[in-house]
Amino acid sequence: MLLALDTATDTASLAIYDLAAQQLLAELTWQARRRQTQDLLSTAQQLLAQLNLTPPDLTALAVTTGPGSFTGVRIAISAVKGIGLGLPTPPITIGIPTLCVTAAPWFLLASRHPTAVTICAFLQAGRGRYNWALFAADALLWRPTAAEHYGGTAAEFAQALAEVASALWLVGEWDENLAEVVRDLPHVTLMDKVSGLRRAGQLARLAMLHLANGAPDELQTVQPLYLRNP
Amino acid sequence: MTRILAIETSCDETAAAVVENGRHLLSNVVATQIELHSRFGGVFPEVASRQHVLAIQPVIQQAIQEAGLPHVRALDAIAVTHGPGLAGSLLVGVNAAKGLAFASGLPLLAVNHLEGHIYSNWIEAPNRPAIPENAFPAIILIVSGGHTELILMTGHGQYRQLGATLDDAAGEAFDKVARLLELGFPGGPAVQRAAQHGDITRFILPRPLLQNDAHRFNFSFSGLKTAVLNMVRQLEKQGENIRDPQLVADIAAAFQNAVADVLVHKTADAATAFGVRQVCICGGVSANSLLRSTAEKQFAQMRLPLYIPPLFLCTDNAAMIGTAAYYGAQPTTALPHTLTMDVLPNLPLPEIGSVG
Repeated sequence: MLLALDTATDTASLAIYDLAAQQLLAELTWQARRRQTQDLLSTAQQLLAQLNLTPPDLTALAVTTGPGSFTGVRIAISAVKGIGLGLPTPPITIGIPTLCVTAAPWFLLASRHPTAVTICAFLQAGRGRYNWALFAADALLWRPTAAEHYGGTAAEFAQALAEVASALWLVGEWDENLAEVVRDLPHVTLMDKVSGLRRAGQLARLAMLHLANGAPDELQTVQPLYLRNP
Repeated sequence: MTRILAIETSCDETAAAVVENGRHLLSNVVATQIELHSRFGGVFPEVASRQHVLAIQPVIQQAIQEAGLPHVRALDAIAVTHGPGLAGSLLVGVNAAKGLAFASGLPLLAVNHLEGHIYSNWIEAPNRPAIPENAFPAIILIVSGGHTELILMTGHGQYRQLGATLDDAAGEAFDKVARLLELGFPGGPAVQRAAQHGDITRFILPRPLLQNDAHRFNFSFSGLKTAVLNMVRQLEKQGENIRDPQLVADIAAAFQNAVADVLVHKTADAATAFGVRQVCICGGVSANSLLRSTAEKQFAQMRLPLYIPPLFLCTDNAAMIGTAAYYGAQPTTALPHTLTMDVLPNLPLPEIGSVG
């Protein structure tokens, strides 16, 4: 069993995935806001109980590493470190950049599209700023580094999108400011906010695919991905 | 036999310890960040949080290994500081502790950092007498970078705050004076080092609130810091070289003496007023050697047993959190702590009543 945890932004998400059956067993995505620390593991316990499972059934952990709120990212990563040390057998662990999870549902559609499509996943970084990354349609397993992410205001974001030559699918939890500045960009399709939600089921799926490729991380090397210095 | 794994990340030390039966240390690991913060002249919260998340797992692993335990599951409980402290720092320890409790099924005990400092005096250490089991009533002086409090302790977990600082904590005053005298960070050890060859009689600084009945058990250190600043300016005007090592040493000695004097006098006054059986001093500033020797003289004269932790237990550590958890977890004061607990950056010491 794999437990996927994500508290990188106000939207938190948890999933339990059966690695043997390759099946998503449970998923919960909710607005945790400032309650991430209170909610995360109590909710994980409830999800396991719902499935008649207990923590020792967990053999793998997946977590989002950032970008996102610095504190939020550290909450799930710290929890993962504790879980990793507390399980009877050390679990397989993997860290996935936050925006990979947002982009994950769109790769198959994008790769079948008659013309080239770039997937742009973004999140609201606070104070009117956004973080984003650009994914080629075949880059499902790409894990961008800090340098391969971008940050800026709505206007700067729109400017960057305007410079992309291909069609763009824009996915994430947008606000009116962003919707406004991309409205007149003909090559940009802004996906609806529900489909743009970051869901831990997708995090679990990515983790499963990475693990099938034999690329787990060490518990110690799962660390936040920061786009800014302190 | 009870073995508790304790975790402490409230400020700039990532710490984990295993404590047996409340008092006996099986391991005590502290990863300090002092060097990282010294270039900022203080603790930089985001830097501290980043360092905690890097260090937390190896520190916990080392604590378990050095305790000679095969696995977390050989323990009886997990304890963690949930406040007071820096929110971002506390979150790392609390979430790691929750992860441990969630995965192992062990009980999770939330500990108040100030209570941890109080219980640092209950830990067995070489070459010091153990505090008796029935040590109450006792006067506790908590003196650190964030706190200066006088507490009457009437039993385990039974506290009554007699007074506290009205402005800066004593440790804060050390940091500020160290900065003023360009002695570096952290201020406590830096001022002590500089004061070593200082003439304690050359300058006399005020003893804030010492003769103040309305604030008999309260402290104030911001005025003392200003007095140092004014004195430095005055000396500069008189043409003194304020970088002269002897002058700096004399000022540092005068400052340290004033702080130790106020702390010890007020603690002694409280000890007399409440007829206590012992006196405990704890917190980072209790590592200061002048404070220790002044207190030793004072309470020897008063024939009152005095307990000050060995130096390695004065500064933040997880051992004291494990000890506090052990005594706090006694049936009379047990509280249900579940996975839903949060960090409480402004958590006060639990009070049984204030002084009327």
